[in-house]
Amino acid sequence: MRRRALPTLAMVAALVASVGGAPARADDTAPAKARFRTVAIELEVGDRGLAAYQVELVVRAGDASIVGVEGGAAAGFTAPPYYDPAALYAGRIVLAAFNTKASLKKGRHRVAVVHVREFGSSPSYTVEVVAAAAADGVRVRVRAFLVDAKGVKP
Amino acid sequence: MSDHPTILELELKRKGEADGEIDVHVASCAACRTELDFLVQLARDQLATVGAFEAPAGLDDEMTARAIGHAARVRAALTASAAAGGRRRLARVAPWAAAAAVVLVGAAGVLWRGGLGSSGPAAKAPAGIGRVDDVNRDGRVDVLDAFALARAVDAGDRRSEWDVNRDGAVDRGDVDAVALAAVSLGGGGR
Repeated sequence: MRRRALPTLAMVAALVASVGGAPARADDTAPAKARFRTVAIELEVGDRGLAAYQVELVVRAGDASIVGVEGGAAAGFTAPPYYDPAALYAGRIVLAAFNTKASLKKGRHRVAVVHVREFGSSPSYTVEVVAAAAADGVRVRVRAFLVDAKGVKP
Repeated sequence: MSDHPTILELELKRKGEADGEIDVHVASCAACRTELDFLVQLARDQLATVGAFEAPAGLDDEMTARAIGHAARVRAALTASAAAGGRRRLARVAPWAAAAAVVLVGAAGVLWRGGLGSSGPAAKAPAGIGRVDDVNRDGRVDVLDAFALARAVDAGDRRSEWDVNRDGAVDRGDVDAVALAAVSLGGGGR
């Protein structure tokens, strides 16, 4: 009985959140139209490379919620990062990933993509690096950037 | 264990895809009918809010794969949570022991800091100190702890103190538990 239920897990979650979790609006008779888009997280990696990262994404302004997470395009970081499922349909999420077999070399790399649902005029987001380490486990400094599908800051 | 269908099974029922036994149960269970009515209303509201859409080909398979992966992560989180719950139960069973420990640790701290005459500011312990998932002992739980544990596990270093999920083995499950603690909005490294 449970096997067939799995494909609908995300559907039900989306259903519940879309209605039950939707932010209250003054005029419920004319709800704003929801838009869905993606926000990519890119990391500027230094000389030591990068094998582990943790970032925090926050909706700073506007009416938006995080509805999904997927991996990035960088080799070794294409799987979805770790995140707290409670962050879905909220305005804050912490993402973390690591790879003990591969590390990112110096340069800018897309490590994760976050799906957001927006209402109204353009919400804004910020991303902050919580921690990062090179392949040997030594803490390193990296810079994080948010870009939309066109490569510009959302 | 409840005999009621899960919400996912009720959703299948709403879509007309449920097994016969769910139909039979719902027909005779007022609580499940109420829940089913809620799902039906929810679906109507959803339709009114975002409209109908056509799912792209392959979406179902992709969602299945993601749901299975997600379920594995949630299981690991629950295991870690259960381990923490075990610690909380211990505290409930012996509150006097916890109080005594606080007194003893406090007294030891006073002595260590140079006796009762010391006037230095009290040091505030970082949130991660003493947590089993603070693998690198830096006072916080973040991805660096999960990474350190993953590297140790890969290298064959499986100290029993790293059995974070308390399943009797130190393996990738413990790494997942630490990583999930790190990203938890209710605690972890932030």
